[in-house]
Amino acid sequence: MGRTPPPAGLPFALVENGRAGLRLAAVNAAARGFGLARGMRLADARAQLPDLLTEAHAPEDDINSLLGLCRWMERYSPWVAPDPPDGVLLDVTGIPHLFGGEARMLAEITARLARYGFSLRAGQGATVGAAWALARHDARDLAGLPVEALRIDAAAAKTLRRLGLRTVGALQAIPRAALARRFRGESLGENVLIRLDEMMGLRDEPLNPLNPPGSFMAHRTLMEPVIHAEGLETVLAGLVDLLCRDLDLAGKGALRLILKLFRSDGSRVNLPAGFSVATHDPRHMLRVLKPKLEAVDAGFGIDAMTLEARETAAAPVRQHGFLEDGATLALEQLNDRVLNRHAAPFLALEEAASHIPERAETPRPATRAPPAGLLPPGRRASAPAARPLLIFEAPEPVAVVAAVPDGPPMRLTWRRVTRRIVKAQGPERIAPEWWRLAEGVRPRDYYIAEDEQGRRYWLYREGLYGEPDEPQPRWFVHGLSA
Amino acid sequence: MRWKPAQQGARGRETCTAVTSFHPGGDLPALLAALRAQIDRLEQGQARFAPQAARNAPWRTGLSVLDRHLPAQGLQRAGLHDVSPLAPGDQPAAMGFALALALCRLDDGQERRPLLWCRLAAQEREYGRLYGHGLERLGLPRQRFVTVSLRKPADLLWVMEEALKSGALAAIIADADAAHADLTVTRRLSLAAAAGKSAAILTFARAGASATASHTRWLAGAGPSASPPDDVLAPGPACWRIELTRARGGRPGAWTVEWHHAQSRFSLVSGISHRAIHPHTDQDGADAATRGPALRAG
Repeated sequence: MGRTPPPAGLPFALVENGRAGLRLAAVNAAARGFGLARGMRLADARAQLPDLLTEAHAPEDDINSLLGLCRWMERYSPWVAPDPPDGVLLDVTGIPHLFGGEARMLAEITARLARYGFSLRAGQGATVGAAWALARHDARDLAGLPVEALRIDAAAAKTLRRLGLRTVGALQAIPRAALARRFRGESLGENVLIRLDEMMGLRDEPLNPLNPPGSFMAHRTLMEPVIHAEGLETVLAGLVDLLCRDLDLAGKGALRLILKLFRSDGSRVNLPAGFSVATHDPRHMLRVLKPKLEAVDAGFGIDAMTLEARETAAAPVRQHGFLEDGATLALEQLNDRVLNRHAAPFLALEEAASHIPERAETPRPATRAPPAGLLPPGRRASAPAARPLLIFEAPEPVAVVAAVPDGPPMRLTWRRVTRRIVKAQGPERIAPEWWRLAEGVRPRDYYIAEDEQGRRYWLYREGLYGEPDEPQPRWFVHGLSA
Repeated sequence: MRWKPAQQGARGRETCTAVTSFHPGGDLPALLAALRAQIDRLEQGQARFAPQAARNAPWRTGLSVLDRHLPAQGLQRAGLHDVSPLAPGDQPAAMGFALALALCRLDDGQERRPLLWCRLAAQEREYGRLYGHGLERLGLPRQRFVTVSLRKPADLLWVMEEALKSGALAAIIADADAAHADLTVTRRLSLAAAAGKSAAILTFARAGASATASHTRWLAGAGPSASPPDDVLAPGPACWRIELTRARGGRPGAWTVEWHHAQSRFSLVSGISHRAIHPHTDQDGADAATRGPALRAG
């Protein structure tokens, strides 16, 4: 396959390394006419037929050829799956009437492929199992099929034959429980009941299509390898335009892209890119992808490029010019550029249902926040509680002197500098949340303390005085106010 | 005066609508104002394309004594400004002042874009991360606030330039590193700010950074606050000592101000009593400002 075909009519075989030397892996019709068959030793075959033409068997070529055939078959149905080593499965639900009926469609496929030089058998069935069997075995109906048509392995088929069960019809006639007891193998090849149910449509058998419908990609092969960044950018711009047009027509936008650069020496570079909001805006896509392209080592040159949308979503239809929507869009696109270049997301600080200061808000990606333009610009009615502008991720322990044990701080030593506190407001007691109460979690008394220079600290004393079995309260700086 | 508007007109035909000639003994203040306006227009080349006059209106701090020191009675709306701490340890005050300036810009009723605060990871470790409840306390609703944290100063400058150019944000405050923010970099940022019609404020970690291309440079530090009347031991509204060290087209000066978050406005503080001058007398001005015994203006 892929090489020059053997002269028609002459016996020909593919050989592979097998047990005890070379064996035939496949034979053509002429060779079969001389009594040759698959699995025979080459020495024996040569003895029968000295002028047998042979070639080494290359299984990967078989697969590639099969995949190529599958892609060609997509003219008949978008749902095509390879069935290695030698089959192609098509889901033609809702299609035959376009070709004038099932029989005519099958005839058309057979005739066309025969014209290309394929010798083939085709079958049609309501299930994958039935179609598979009818393409390989001659029978008037399913019940008349031999048990080998069930896609079970040779051992299982042999056992069935020894039991006198030669056809699918015979299998159907005996109680299921008996079959289940006899063939309860883990693998599909052994489990006769599962295969039987699949053929009869009692059990679902999904078909994995080669190209799932709805995937978006753009590919361009270059005449000569390109090394210069400008050249690559031009190609990229073309790909982005193609992809965006397809996405736009389908009403979709890309969330995840992958740009594949094929170097002329056979290696490949993958450049992934992500978007926070589904997009089919070519300008935006290009601005995100371009910086990534700049960092690529082109080696001896790039001779093909593929841009693929790995994840898509319905793209929001936007109405520009209403409530500064343009600014929201610009912010999302800006976020994408920053995210793709520096992996630093724009964060909005969202209020959380907790009164423990470090849990009272959670950062979350800003683009998922409700659009700023739709929110009332007004402030809340009551003044927000006294909180610092800056907060430490981990409160820093400090040495504090207070006039009375549970009074406000008078002197504070933080980062090896002692400050005299002249003004303090507090305490504001924040008790642990009872549903998170754990050993060692103690109530806190918060103070806003101002030193002589007017700098403000948000301090707390952890724990209470006079509690038996508890360590002495400790002081921490939790934040700094402006 | 060898200033020839006609020749400049060859490059920007439409900018020189007000051809002014110099008459000795003429109305000098009016002439200066006209010339300043003209320089302004030349500096922001695309100002003529701006659809709304409001977009070009100066960015007032709301404090008339302060505004009078600034060119065109306010800050450059689409320009770069920087704030440094007066002394080591005044970083939170400098950040607070930068936020207050930005809030004056956000609060003009037409602006609906949010504010972006770019932080450096090292600064976040040193002084803490921004706290949304604290931002609300100073008057910034959290819906209008976005933050991003970066490890390298150079990355931060890239993000800042992109953000300014995108025009998606009303104002951007960013931690700046003196070693990276030199004249070239700040000039780039200044141009980006003009392109995106956004305001940019750099906050330096230390005073005495090298020359920048900022429109105004400020120093800010904490000052002892005035206690509220009902509790003499408690701290009052945030109080900052600020210095305008450089203003293109303006005059330097130093003041002590309080920030009233509820109204998003500054008020002047008289030095001795630690009490804000009454807001109503301050609004209009000059008399209140000059009367203050310890007003450190000028």
